[in-house]
Amino acid sequence: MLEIKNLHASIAEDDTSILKGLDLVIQPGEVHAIMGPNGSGKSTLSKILAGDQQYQVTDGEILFNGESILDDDATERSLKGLFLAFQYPVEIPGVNNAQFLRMAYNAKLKYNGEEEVDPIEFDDFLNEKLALVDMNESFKDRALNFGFSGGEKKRNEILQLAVLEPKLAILDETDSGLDVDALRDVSAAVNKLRSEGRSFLLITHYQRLLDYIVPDVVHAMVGGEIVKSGDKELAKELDKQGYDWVANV
Amino acid sequence: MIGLPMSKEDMEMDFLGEHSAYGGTLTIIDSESKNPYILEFQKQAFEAFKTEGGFPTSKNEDWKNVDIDSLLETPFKKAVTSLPADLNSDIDIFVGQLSQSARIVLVNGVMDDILSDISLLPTDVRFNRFSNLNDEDSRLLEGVMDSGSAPRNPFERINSFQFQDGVFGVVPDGVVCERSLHIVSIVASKTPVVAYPNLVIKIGEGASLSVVVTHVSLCSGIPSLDNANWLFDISKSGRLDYLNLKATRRSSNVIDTMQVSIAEQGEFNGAYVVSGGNINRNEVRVSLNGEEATSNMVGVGICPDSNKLYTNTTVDLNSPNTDSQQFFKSILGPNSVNEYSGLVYVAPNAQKVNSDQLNRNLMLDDSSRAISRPQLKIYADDVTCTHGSTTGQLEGEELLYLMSRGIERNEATALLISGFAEEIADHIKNDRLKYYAEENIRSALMNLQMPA
Ligand SMILES: Nc1ncnc2c1ncn2[C@@H]1O[C@H](COP(=O)(O)OP(=O)(O)OP(=O)(O)O)[C@@H](O)[C@H]1O
Ligand SMILES: [Mg+2]
Repeated sequence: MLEIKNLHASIAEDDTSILKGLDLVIQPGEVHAIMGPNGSGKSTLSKILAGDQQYQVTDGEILFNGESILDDDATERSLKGLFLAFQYPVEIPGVNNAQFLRMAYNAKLKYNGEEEVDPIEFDDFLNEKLALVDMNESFKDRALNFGFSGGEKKRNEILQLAVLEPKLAILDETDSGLDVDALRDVSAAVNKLRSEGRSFLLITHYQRLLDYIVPDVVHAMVGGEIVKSGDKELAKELDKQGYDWVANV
Repeated sequence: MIGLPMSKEDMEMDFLGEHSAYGGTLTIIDSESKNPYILEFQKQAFEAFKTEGGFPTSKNEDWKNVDIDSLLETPFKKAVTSLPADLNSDIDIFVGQLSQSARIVLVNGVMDDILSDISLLPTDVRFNRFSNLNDEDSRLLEGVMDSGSAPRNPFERINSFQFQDGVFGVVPDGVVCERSLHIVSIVASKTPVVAYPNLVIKIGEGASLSVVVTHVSLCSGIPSLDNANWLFDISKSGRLDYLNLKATRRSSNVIDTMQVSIAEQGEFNGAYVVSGGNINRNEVRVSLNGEEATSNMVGVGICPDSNKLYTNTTVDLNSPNTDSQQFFKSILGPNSVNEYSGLVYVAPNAQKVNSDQLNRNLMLDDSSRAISRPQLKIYADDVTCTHGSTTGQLEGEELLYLMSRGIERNEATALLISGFAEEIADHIKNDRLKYYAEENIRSALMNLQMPA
């Protein structure tokens, strides 16, 4: 599904290097988790995967379903089935949430050669998805993320995930800032979306999330590299011992 | 007549026409049909214009960025109301679109009694020309005009002595108008003209009215100037919802001055959607004169190419527990200018007032310019006043967000630009006015060149 080889990347503006030779392979249907200290480059990795042009890849390769996506812009990567739930979703006043979701959904249908849906058809579909993430229908009329609470923004990301049904979903700290109930709802939604053909990359600081969404592989990321990988026990170990333990091996 | 370039004084005199500018005496058109109060008002405005500097100069902060010279260089004459048949039929076609609406139609500054029709409003509501008022309404008008401040800015003064016949509208106490009233100011001519509409509206106690004002130029390529004065008086618990639409041609100019005074618990909701045009200057002075009076103003200027927009708001919070909101945005294409000046004044006794002011400008091109001049003058201590301004290009982060959901770059850009503009409509309380604003914003956006 995803194959990252020796990825080096820096901030385009000033060449500050952030990712320093990162390798990661995710097979179809697998759930991977990345844990790592603040500033280790987790969000940078996720945004580079999504196609953020403020970063530039200086070396290495990213293959998605066997093909390089380095030349694809964010739109194409999304249409190919890659999804990022942002750590800090932006607020866009003036853009209606439901209209935006329909645009995104139709863009995907069109890309797949399917017929676009009209607002009425989409509304039914959207209501189902709202129920899945336990969001009130009033969120349809709101402006995109505008004035949403931290937890509501995170739920809105999962709503988009549910609408777009990507092949690979990267969840950048979706669990941060969620209350216990929300964490359970969001996890349940993700578990429901787990399937043979769909992979997940969870970025988190909390082992607790991994009790709800059980990962196949856990990685420790320090200083722009993956320094250790293991099964879900690694997450518990990291929780107990901190990152100095892996950074020094 | 091709001669030497005219001196500035000559151009100013030419602009003022029969008033032979500073040295002259005032000859008032149709003076026999005007009542003594109006005549006196016009004379005073003329004196004030003469003694207080005449046309704005570069020393006048509120006008220094406005290209007055380009207006003076245009051989404007005062617009007349008798027009050739083809212009009249253009007007009929335009007004025909409003056949299902209550409407006041001003042609070249003067209310046209035949084209105007307010039969859809409650029967007590009346709109008449100044020259057509009964004694009671004359006294009512004088009361409103006395309570307003004397004309302050140069073009407001010019209007005040130049206008031919004003319009006075009254919504009596307790009368609530469900339907919106359309006020259309049409400038029609085959040579460069200035029109001087002058409107006064009194909203009675507990009364309410929603108004859509549209400025239209039917001058096909010929420069025009609509120099309008508005005076709105909102009585106790009265409410005025107001939408000003200026979707004007390249050659048209509008200089608007509006005064709004609001008594206790009165409410003014003003919205301004401007697109295109050459020079558009909009000055609004709001006085909150009674407790719990509120003013909520929003506006968006959409400048596809070489448009010059100036918005100047003054809000006087004169009473305790008053509230005002000013939120003005602009989208600036090539060679466009937007200036927002916002003065908030809080009187010494006006405790517990709240005022928020925000100006946001979106630059689509490096050749555009945004000027933001917020000013706070606060003489009370228990107040909350905020103001802010931002000017920038489209946010990369927002674009990434939309694109990462599969939306094409161009489409995402368009969505962000329209979202930026439409946020203004989200702040319009009256649903009808909101709908009109959205329609106008949408069609204005179609004229924008998307940035690469
Ligand atoms: N656009 C940028 N400009 C400047 N510095 C940046 C930029 N993007 C990332 N960085 C820096 O790169 C480093 C990695 O940031 P990143 O957001 O990827 O960390 P993270 O692992 O996600 O941290 P956290 O756990 O706090 O979310 C940080 O030091 C950050 O300040
Ligand atoms: Mg992060």
